[in-house]
Amino acid sequence: MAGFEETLVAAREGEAEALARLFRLIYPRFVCYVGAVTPTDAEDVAADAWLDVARGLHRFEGDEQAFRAWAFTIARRRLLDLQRSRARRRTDPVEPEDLVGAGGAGDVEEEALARLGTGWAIRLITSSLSSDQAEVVILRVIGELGVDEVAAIMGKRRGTVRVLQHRALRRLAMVLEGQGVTR
Amino acid sequence: MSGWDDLPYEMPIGTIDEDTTDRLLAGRIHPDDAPPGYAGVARILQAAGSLPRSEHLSREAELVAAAREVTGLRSPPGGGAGGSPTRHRRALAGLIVTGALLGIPGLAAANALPDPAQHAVSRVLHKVGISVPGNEDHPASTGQEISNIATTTSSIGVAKGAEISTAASGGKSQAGQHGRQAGQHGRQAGQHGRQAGQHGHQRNGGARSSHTPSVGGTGRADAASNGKSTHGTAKADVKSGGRSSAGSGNAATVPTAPIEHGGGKPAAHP
Repeated sequence: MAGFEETLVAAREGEAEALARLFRLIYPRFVCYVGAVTPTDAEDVAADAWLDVARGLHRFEGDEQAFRAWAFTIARRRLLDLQRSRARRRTDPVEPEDLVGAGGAGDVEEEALARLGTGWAIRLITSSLSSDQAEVVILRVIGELGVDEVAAIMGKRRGTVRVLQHRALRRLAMVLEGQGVTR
Repeated sequence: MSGWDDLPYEMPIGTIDEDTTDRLLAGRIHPDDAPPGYAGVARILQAAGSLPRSEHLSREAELVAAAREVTGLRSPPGGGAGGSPTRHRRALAGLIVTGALLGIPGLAAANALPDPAQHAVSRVLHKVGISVPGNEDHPASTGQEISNIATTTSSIGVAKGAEISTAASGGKSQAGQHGRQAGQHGRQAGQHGRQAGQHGHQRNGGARSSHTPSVGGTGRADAASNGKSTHGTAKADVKSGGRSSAGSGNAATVPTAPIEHGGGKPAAHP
């Protein structure tokens, strides 16, 4: 298995297998990331972002972590372009009662675990958190990016990202534990 | 924000530090080891990070092929394989155009182009105010002019051809010269005839052919020698001033020796 650097060099020269490795590395993440904001356009926006990545391969220098950060910057730009070009389809946070209904009667966490899947988890995250909080969590979890990288992608300060992620987890915990909601 | 952070409920959810937050987000905390109230968060985050990659890979072949096309149009950093053919073609075309734009006027200024091209470039550049040597010295540049020369000249034969050719080529034709050379060859043939007669003189210590003032014709040696010459068939030209007769007069009375061809070396006197 070639290392990332070799893969990158080969991908720049158009080698199919190297491009496929990069595709598998980022495209599913793109779909999840974009799908968290605009599910119906996720595949198209992710495909456009992937082609942007391919076009820019000759400009990129760095390791795999830097590559993911760079690729998500491109995907986010695509997403913002889409949002500018059409009416924003942001998912508003759901009311706690709706979330209970979605999870069925009883322990929300158990229901959630029974139905766990990436899609469901992402929907839970996006429906429970503010857009900024959800984006921070998704970039950190799906993009496997660090605080500094997320801050750079979102154009926010490092401290702001830290606050956002801390509040996001606390809020998720509240929803899942059902504190004051299910009991 | 919906204001959830301000929920007035009592929550048995502990406060987590930055490091725990980072490890939860990285999926490095097992739900059983999560801080109080965060077990569900740990499971959700692990689930979110476990990408269902296969369901997103149905377009892999299509999108990888598309990526191959777009990467094929780019050159790698630092030169590498040297860029795409399209880029090379554009660069080459640019070089050719640039070279033509710079080179042709330059050659024209140096009067180094072939005459028709020089003439054409000169006329074009003259229209934009640039003066380069043209073919102003060309005596005739049209077929009509050449035709007029051909029909009005009083010259005939080789001279006529040379005149027409000279006019058409701007004086560069050598056709007339070649024609004259051919005539010279003819005279040289006559000279050979004299030399043949002179060999007889040489055999008798006569004058060398190079001393013969005659430059043309095939005079009869016997006429010039008053019938004394009986050797050979060469006929000395009357323009030789009779000098060729000096030796030939003795030719009839002196036993002949084998004729030496080449005639470059005078025979020794007996």
